[in-house]
Amino acid sequence: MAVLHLSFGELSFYCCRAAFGAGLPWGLAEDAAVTATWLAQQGHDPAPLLAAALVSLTDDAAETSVKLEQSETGTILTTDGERPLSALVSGPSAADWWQVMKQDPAARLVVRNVDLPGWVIACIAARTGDGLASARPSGGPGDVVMSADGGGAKSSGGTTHAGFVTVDHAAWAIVQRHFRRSLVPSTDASRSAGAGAGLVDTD
Amino acid sequence: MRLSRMGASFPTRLSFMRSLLRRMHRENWWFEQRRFDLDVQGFGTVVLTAHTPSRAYSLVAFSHDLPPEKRTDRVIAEAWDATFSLYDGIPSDTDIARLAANTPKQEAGRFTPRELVLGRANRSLRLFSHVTERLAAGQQPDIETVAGVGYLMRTTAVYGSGKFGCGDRALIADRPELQGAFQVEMLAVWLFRWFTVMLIEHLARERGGDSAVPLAPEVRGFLGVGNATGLGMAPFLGRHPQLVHAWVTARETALARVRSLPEATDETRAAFQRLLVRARQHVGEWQVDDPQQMVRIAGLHQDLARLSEAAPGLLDAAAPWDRVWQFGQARLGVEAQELLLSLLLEPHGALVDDLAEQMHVSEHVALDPAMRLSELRRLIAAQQGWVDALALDGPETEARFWYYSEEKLEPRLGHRHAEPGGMLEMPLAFARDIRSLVADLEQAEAEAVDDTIVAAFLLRHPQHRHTVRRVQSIAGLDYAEVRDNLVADGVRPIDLLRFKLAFFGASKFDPKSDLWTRITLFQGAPQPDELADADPDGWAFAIRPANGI
Repeated sequence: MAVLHLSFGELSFYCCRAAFGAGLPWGLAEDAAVTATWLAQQGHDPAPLLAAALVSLTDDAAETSVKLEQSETGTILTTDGERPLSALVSGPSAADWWQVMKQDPAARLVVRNVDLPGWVIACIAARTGDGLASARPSGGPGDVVMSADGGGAKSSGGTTHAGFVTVDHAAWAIVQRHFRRSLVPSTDASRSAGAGAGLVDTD
Repeated sequence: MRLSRMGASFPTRLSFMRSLLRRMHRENWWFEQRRFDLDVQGFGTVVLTAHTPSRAYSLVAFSHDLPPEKRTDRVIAEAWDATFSLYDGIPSDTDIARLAANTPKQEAGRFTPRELVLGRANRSLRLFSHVTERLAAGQQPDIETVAGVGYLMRTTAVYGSGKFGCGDRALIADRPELQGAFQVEMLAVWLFRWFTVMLIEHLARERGGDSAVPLAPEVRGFLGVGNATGLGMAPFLGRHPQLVHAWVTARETALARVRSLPEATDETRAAFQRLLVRARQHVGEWQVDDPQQMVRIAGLHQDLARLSEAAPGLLDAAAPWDRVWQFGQARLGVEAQELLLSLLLEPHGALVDDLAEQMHVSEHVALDPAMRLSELRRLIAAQQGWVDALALDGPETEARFWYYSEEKLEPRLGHRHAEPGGMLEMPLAFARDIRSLVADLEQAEAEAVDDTIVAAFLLRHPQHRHTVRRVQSIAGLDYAEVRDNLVADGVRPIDLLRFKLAFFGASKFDPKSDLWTRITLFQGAPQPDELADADPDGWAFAIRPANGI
């Protein structure tokens, strides 16, 4: 399997812009970068999960409108649509709500029918330190359930300091493809209006 | 934190180059040339190592043959006169071979966590040729010609913080010598400056043989390193508001300490007067092509003359430094006010230098999803009231947009209403985004039966997530934001660049347009082989040596 070594800073830069290139607002794209970097710091390659989540989004295979329901069984993040919820959209919201709820001993959060449950759990873990034990590195659509009585298992891993993360080449190529969507095509006009344009550097 | 003032910034003794040299001198760093492998044309490899009390850092520099048609300072360049990496430690032959295969490729190369900085530079052709010919003939260069440029080579990009596989800042953030902002980049550039002197003296020897002479110490010290800086620096200020706050807080605290002194000692009074004379000469030697900047320099020159007349009387009174500052506020233009700040700090190292250690932060950007919307609105009203003073209606108020071009990721500033790509803009329209957030918060408050929380609001308005997080993260930080509209028609990115470059310690700002500038770094500073016996702070407001050396 072909691999590539990336610094954490580099990983964050590309993941943020790949999510932005996939059409997410900047704030959600920042969360994607935080989650990817956190996974890398724990020693996991975030590229396969992120690539799958990006493709789900841009292939129009995921819902992006998240709805909140409160019931006797807990707080539920769901959608009115028929497709699974995008993990890139619902993950940050799940982390928000779990951060708000987690001190309540009766807290229970359900994120229903997510395209990549592992990404949502990683989002929550990156923010709160909870949930890593139940993270699945891959897997199809499903629910994420967090509860104060055990589902919110504590992360066992500390930050690793290898100084870089090794990513799967094929998955990273997909991230890069989405990253390029965040760039503005160059035109003759923009090129000639750039900083330093037209200068003959012979001074 | 208005653009008009930021665009008049000057370096101070708290600037990053200054604090680096003080530390190196204090800790007795020593420096060695570990490899010098240049051919008769000056092409090849040089390795220069800085030894701290506990570590080593090595500049691995490559000198290349650059075809004229490939010569450009732009990010989109693909070849340079020289390229370099700063290596964490002492590189082995294998490391140097690996870098030789990658460093010259710059963005197209791949690096490891052992490389902390990546950079490149081009020669100043007219000065390089002149100095080489003179030294080869056994003569020193004409000082007017040297002063007209100020450097032999100028860097066109210096990358750190994990770019292209290089080591992340987190890897070095706990090392005292590199904790400060941009210390590792400044170290690389300072070593590179030494390389430029070695290179030109080598070429002179190759050309002149026994007739060749080395640079006179005065000229050697006067030569800095040039730099061409464009739009890439501006987004940094937007992405790191907590860091910017730390920088400005240190500077403002230093000024407050000096102003609060009840009297001036004979020593500080004399130092101030001496520096004022020197600063006037420095400004007099500051010549640029840009007519607008030349008008500002002329005004600055007049203001400094006014200050020189008034200073003796002001310094004889009680609270003298505050009186000097108040005089500046009342009687001088903004360029002179900013230079005066630098002058006031300069004689007071013992009072202010500790603040240089506080110009870095462990940035913590976090969303508080439990915050009530009413609290968020109060926070915005308290912190972002400056937005209300800006005109934000009409197409001219969002005429521009900042973006990364697909062409080598070159940062560019587009015209929103005439070019494609506005939807892909970088998040630098803070004022507009705050205004939009406030409008939706007001709407949410009008619709809600109770005071809801941020988590619920962001479910319905995910487009505000970035702005809410930013607002919460800079609560209480008065200097975190540029209090202007960065996408308005007429915005001058060069104001942002000068602000940041002044914190680096750059001088001789030479604007080439509203988008980019040339500067000089380390002009007048000791070279590595001179540092041990030099005053590490003796190079503020560098002035040219006398001709006929």
